Amino acid sequence: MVNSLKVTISSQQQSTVKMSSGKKIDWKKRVRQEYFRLRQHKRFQRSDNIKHAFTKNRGVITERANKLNEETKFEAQLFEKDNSFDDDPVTKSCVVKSSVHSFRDQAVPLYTLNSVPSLPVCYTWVPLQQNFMVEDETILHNIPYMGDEVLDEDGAFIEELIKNYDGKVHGDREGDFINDELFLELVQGLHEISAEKPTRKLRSRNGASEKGKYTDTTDSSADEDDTSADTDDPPPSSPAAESSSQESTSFPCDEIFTAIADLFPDKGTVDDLKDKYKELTEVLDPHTVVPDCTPNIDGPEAKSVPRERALHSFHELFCRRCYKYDCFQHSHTYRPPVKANRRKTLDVRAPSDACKNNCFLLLDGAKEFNLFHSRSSSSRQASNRKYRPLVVGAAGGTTTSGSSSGSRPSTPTPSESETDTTEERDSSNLIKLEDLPQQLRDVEWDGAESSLFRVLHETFLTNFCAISKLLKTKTCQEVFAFALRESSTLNSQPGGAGGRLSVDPDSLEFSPAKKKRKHRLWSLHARRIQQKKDNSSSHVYNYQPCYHPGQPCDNSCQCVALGNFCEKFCQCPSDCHNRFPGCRCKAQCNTKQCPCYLAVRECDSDLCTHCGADQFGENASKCSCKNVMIQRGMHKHLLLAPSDVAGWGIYIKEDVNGKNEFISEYCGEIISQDEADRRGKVYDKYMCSFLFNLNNDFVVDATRKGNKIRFANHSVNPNCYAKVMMVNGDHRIGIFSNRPIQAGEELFFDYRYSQSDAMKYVGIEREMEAA
Amino acid sequence: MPRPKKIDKQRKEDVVPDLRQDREEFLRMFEKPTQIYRFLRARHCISPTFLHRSLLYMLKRNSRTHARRQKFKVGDMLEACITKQSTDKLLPQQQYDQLKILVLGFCIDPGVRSENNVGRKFSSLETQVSLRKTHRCRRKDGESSHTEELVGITDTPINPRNVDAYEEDPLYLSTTHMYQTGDGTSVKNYSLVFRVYESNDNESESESDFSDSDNSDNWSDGPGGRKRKRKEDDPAGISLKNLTTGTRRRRTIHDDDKQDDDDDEEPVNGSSKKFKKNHNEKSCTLTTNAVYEAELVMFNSEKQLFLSDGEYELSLTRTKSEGVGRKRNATWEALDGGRDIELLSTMNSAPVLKFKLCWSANEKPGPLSASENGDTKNATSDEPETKRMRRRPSVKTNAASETNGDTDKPNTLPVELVEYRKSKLQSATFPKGDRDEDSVMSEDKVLVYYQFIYNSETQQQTEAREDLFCPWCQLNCMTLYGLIKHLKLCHPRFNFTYSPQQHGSCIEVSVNECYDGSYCGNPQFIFAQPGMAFSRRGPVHRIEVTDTLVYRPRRERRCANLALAELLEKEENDASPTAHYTAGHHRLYFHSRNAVPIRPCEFEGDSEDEADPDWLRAYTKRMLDEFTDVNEGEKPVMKLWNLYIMKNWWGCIADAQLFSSCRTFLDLYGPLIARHSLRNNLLLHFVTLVDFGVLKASALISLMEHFDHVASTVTPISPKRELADDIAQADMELQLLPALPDQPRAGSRAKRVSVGDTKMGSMDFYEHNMSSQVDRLHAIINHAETKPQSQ
Repeated sequence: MVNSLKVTISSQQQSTVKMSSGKKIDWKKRVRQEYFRLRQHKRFQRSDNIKHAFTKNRGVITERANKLNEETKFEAQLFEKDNSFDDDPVTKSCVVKSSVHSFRDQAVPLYTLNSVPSLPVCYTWVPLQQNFMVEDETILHNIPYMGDEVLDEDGAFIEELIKNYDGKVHGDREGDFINDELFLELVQGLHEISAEKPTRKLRSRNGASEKGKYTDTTDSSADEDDTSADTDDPPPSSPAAESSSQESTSFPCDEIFTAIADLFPDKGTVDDLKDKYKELTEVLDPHTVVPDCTPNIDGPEAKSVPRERALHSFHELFCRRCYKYDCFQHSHTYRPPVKANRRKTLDVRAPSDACKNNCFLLLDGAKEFNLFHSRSSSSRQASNRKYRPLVVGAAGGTTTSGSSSGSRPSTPTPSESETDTTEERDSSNLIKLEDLPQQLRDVEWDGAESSLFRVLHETFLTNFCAISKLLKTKTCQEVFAFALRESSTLNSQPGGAGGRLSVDPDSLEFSPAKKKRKHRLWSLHARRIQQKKDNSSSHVYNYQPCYHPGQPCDNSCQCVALGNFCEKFCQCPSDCHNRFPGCRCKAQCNTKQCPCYLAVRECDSDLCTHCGADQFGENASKCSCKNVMIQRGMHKHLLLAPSDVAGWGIYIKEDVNGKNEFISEYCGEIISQDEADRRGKVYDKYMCSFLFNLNNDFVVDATRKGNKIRFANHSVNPNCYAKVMMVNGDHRIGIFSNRPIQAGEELFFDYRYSQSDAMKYVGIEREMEAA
Repeated sequence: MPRPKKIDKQRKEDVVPDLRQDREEFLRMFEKPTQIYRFLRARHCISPTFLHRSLLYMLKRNSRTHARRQKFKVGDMLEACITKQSTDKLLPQQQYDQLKILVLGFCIDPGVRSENNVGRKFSSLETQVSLRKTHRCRRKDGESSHTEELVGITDTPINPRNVDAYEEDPLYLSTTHMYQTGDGTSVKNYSLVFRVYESNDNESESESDFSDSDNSDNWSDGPGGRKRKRKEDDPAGISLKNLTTGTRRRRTIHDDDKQDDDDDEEPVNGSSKKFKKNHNEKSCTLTTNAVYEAELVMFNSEKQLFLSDGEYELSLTRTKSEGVGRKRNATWEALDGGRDIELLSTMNSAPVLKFKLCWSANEKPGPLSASENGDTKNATSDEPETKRMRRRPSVKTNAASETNGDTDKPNTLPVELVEYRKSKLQSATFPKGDRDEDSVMSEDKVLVYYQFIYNSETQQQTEAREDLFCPWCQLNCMTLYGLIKHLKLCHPRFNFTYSPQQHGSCIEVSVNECYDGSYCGNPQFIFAQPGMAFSRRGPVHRIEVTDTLVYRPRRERRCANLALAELLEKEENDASPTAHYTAGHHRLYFHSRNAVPIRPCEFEGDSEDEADPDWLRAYTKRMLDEFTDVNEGEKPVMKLWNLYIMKNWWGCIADAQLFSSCRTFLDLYGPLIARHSLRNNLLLHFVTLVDFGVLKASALISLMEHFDHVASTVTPISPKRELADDIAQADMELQLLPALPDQPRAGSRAKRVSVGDTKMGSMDFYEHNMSSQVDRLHAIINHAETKPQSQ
């Protein structure tokens, strides 16, 4: 409010200066009027929205309370206790005597309530169970208030703080703030006025901006806008509305933009505004499909699209590390699916037996087709390996992606080059689409089916029985026919020749040779870990899956460069020498005998199979490994209470029997080191910091988001310690016990120790002193 | 008899102006804990936390021996009853036909006394004892009539110092005729009425305190005795009464010190004249002096004997006018539970008459014959000293046995009327066999000096007492060992240091600065609304709270016989750090998000167990919604999958685990996906998993088979519900599922994965829950299906 007021004044000054001609004033005034009208409207709308949300939330709360009460009905301790004190013991009777005889004495029981000690100050925070990556804040969102006396004596602090953000403070320019939405409404509102002037009503724009439902109303006008803007690009400079009224019915006249540009000089020139307006009106048309967006494959307008298009959203958003779409933690590190790994997963063999009576295998030539493709794939694979033994198919991901799948060294073909050529020659003799019966060829395939076929075909190759099973709507004969049709169309294109059909999946079984190599890798790694340990690298860098197609993990690989192991998320082959091999312990993995423990890693469920880290669900009892606590979230039950030392404290509910037992993970926002520096300035001033160094790149800040362990206090004689561990590619902070802890003890850990480097944030130490 | 040390006395006399300051200092140190202990004592009277007599160091208070329990048979009870019945008929007549009443003294608070003008003008009081017969009311109208006959009048000293020293002038009452009820008038009960008159009318010349001086000749010691004298006002109160009443009383003492120089040596004993009043009742009304009265029921109509041998203290009330307010106010200073505490407080404020009752057989020689006629005179006082001394032990043993019998059967005693107190008299009756050092000391006039040390151990005040009563709770500890033990254990706000002295023992008292007076009860009670713990709506969950109720420090073997030596040297190293150390949940816990106290029924659940807080669920949905280039078929599948993975993120941490996770996902959301016909998108989702190498292609086939199986039970409905609503509902249901009371909280998760046979059970339980969750979700979806159709 204050800001807008300020702006009014400033803009008035502006306008008075520029007041030259009556016509101009008229427009500027109108712009201003319209602007403030819209703004006020927005304010009302906003407050209405807030009120509405508030009442809705109240409803949700009562609903939930009722639900909870229903469930805890038998506990007799209801959430909302009725206001009467029926259950309370009457301690005294309080009688009011009336001096008038006709009135009776009024007696009321007197209840005594306990005096309740006040609680320490508690700032609100958001619960988390896993770290949450947030982006840097480029503007200062609020100026921290620490009491008047702090600001009085140290006014420079705030200035310095604002300087850290390059002088950008949130809400600073709210007065002349104009966003796209507002801009659009403003232009349209003004345009209406200008249109009304010549007493001409626009067809579809009645009250368009009032409701804020510009999306509906601009539809019709949008296409017109395009054309008219192009044709009448130089609109009449004179304010005479009559002249422009005939043709520029839909595109707002220039005066509007010039007036707006005058009012908001930082928004660009007149032409910029015009372009922006055009852009905005285009975007708002819902019928113009976003080019990237594939239609819903389940919807009626599903289109036949290539595989990449069909899977585009899924591939783009899926996080290999969290198994989630658009995850909160690794959203900036999306990688296309690792083709090299797919070899493992494609374990569906080509069918050798007919699935049912009318299987495609029963067709003439189909068996031969199948056999040919399985043979050719293996040979192709073998030849691939010969040339590029280390990066199997990593480079072939684009067009001949199928070639990378599977390896079957047990059935090597003696002369690869010959067979290659002969087979290619043979393929011409194979069954063609024309050989199939007519009814199969004429089957109608809609867009969804054909897209799905392409999607599945790459996975299941010539196993048309499986594809038809997954498709559900087509028989395998029909699928076979379609596959032939597809390949024939693809054949015409270069490179796509038989690639899609030519690959056969391979088995997963390990060859003896591979096993041997694994052993060797193992011993090698044990030594490497030891070396790493000796280096005592105080700097731990964040892990990023490496992606360097065609290159082995050498010094150019970022994993190697940063001193990290390659993980299963890396794009390098699984036999990469930089990969951590996992442990082979049979015990609990809680001593330095375990290489995982030694490397400050948690056991990887996909690597360490001997310790039982790969046991989940009902088999979880078989897991003897104690080195999986963070990933499985097996934290202890913690309780919050006012601390014996300072402020709040955290207490443990059940006994902890020994040393090195996992208590909880220290969760919070993951912020960059720069952001931590900026935030730390404020926290230092507050003398209360929840910053925790995660590695060289990131810091965990539990101030805004976190879990209960954030309340653990500092002590130089703690019962817990913190350790940053590598858990499935992420660094996470685990709090472990230093000694056996009894139930009900308060938990402390030494803030000063950190896995990576010495304490950077004095504030934490100061807090300790305060405590 | 050595006087107590008065270190500060000299200083006080030197620096008179400092006296007040000194006094204030003293009060500041000791007043508050003393008040607290007074309060605690009163509370203990109402609802005792333990019985003193059952304490090891209070063995002497326990008059019973458990020897009989060893050979107890049930038949014994019958026998005892039979013998008692037979003796009851005989004994009262044969043995208890004569009552010796020995009035020992009249104790009155000096403050009260000055207000009432008692004893100011009169050197001595006289007590009239009469027997009141209440006749059974035959007439309809009237009250029960009573007749009184005078038993005797005796001189009574005011605030005597030594009770034993005043054993003189017993009154005798023959009760033989009481049992003869054949005289036509039926007597309802017999009661003894004690009236105290001021016996001397001649004016006293000064305002000086006679009572202070009237005993001094017994001791014939100087100003030092005065200190003790004052204590006699309230033998159990020692200096504490001074504390509570403030400086005023203290100053009067100092005043006395000066005045005593003048009138200290006034012959008081001589001034006590014996007034013999006839037993006309008017005589009491004629005297305008203050009259105190009390009544004590002897026999009731059933001829039950209420009075037994022993030493009594009877609190007296003032008679306002004749016939009105014969309020029986007889209470006894003993700690008996469950009674109105006002009765006890009257013992402190009201004047108290002390007397002894002794039953004796009729055939005893000597004064008994004289008492035959019922109107006993003071002539009986000329009983020879030797005789009294001779008879004493026999009486006492008798008394001891009688009182024991009474305590064991408290129903025979109307406790609101009469509560007796075991006094020194009885303590002396214990056989000498188990006497050790301290009791020998108590034989010859125990002297305990309390040295109150204050002002950072630079000053002290000394108080001396001859008894073994705890000054704070006025509990008779019987032995010195017991006293010190009691002080140390029951009054931890003070430090007590015991050191023996030549003619007594010295206890240094200082305030315990280290005392932790914080609340250590159940923390829930503070925050709970009153009465919450006693809610009667049903069984209520509570949090267990550990408390050290019994602390048994290691006791050395040789000290097991309760020797004072134990208290002596181990003063410093006896520090017991574990005494007040309690482990466990002794605090009130709060919900971490809103700082609301955790109620006991929520205590078991861990709010951190849900890996997916509400906001995160909403957030992930919103984040996906914000994509413009993700179509409306992909979004719901992604959302459902995200929500599912977030719910079970701990259950999906490895590639190897993904297949089973997907299966459960289909179990939960399969119907929903089928109903909205999102099969192809689901397939794309699984293909993505395969593409990323986390799922095998064969797994994909079996998953889709599973989905088709699940979907076959669901028919897509024509009027589609809003997909978003459906997701939201399924989401909410899924979210609420673990909160069901019959399900283990996810907190068991930690146990579930850990090793051990016992965990298997919880695992099975979990599986069961998973299936029940699925069932429930299906029910929800089916419900949702039927709903639109019915519309």
